[in-house]
Amino acid sequence: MTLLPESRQQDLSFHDLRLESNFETFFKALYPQLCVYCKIKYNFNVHLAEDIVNTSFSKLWEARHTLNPTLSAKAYLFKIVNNQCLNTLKHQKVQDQYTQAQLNIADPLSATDDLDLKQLRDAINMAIAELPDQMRKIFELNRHDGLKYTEIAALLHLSVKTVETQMSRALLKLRKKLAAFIR
Amino acid sequence: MENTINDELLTRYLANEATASEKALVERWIALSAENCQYLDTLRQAWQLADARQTLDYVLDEMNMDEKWVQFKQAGEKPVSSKRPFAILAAAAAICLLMIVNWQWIDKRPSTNIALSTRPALHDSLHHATNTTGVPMKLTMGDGTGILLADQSALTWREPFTHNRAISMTGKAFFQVTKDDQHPFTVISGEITTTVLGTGFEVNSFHDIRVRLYTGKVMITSSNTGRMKNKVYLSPGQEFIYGNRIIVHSFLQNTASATRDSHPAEDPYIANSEENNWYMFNNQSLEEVLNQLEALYKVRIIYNRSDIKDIYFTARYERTESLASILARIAKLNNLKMTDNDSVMIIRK
Repeated sequence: MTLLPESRQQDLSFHDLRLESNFETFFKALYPQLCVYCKIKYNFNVHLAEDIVNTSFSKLWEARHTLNPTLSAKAYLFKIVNNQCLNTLKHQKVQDQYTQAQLNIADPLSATDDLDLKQLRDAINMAIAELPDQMRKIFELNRHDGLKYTEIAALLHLSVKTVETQMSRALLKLRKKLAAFIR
Repeated sequence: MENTINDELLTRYLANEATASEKALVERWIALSAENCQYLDTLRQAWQLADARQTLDYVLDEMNMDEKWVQFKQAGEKPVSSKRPFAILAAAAAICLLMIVNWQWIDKRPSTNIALSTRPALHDSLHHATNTTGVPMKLTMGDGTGILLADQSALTWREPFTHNRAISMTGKAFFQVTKDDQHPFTVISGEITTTVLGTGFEVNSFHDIRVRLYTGKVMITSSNTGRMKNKVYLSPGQEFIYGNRIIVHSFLQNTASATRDSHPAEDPYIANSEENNWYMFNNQSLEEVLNQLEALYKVRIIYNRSDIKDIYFTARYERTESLASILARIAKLNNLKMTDNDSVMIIRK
């Protein structure tokens, strides 16, 4: 696993990218980040995320000689990834209006979203670990094990109403604990 | 917030636990104001962060960037996604695929444009097809492959397809694959990758991923090498099941072709231990099978290597069964002739 330790150093200009070794470093540094972005912003699985990220790098590869050599390659790459994600959502012809509405929100991804993935993972694990036992158990049974509310209620001898309340409280707590990563 | 909308309902909405009327209610509420939309959006972001743990684990612990770079460099030449070790994320989806290869299409295939092969290696783009129309949808790929995509099913592939014949699939689809030895046709469903080696087969899954082979040959690999490290080749009449256990068995009744509910295909050779009164061959080449039978029965078996080349075999036999009857069945299945010469057995075309 190669990740540049200092994420701020990841950006390059199109001029830099003309050197293949620079492109390779850039690719290796941003590929994992972008996969995670596709997951946390659009809820795409790794498979789809990697397809999108690969396609985006291909487009960058093609454009690297034609674009203004002083421009930020990173900003351009984030823009491509974002467009690819939106296109994918449109192709999925998603029925629910919320997702449709989300398509119109302009700033889901941006190059300023520098993010240490290890730090993110630690923060998420910590936030979940800090939930009260029963609440965490219910949340994990739903999110990790994919159980329905009714199944969790039956398993833990609780009312469905209790499961609902606990799930909702867990989510509010997580939103608070993870506020640094939420806009 | 309005009386009817509360955090429990919004959480149910995100958890996909809301009823149709509740969903409509939430969606009307979002449409009321940008604040409402923003409120739900922050909840959704928290929700998706919590769900991202698996992705983060994969990206941080398993992703090999040198490998990804090599794959990227080769994109456009080869399927990049055929061996991708992605995490088990598609497991819950019902995956089902029906695939038929039509040999007659070989010569009808439109000749590949020369300009195409000289294109830059990285010139490709991602395409999707999703069918929610309620009826099967017809598609024709650039290589002439015809696809009938079932309702509630989706495909993802790269163009130019003639270069990179890999399709990622969820749901159910029927394929008429144009034969092209230079470019393997690959279907990826969850962890399982099925590569067409010139064949007619069906991959069908409800909770499990299932591959059924009718004619020809397919190769199956799993990205989850911890579960299944070897390639599995199917012989006609065999079904591969990737469920709680990995199983290869015969799905055709009344064919002597193979075993029922045999052992996992993890190891192609399941040891013939002394305490068992049966032994089995698991997708071994016929040559290996014959060599083992030779050793087991201490009888000489004569065959011409070229006659039995590329034949793979899965079968379970009782130890009490005679060598002659086993060989007769093997011969019959593979259009070979068997001669019983008392001290030696002869297998030939």
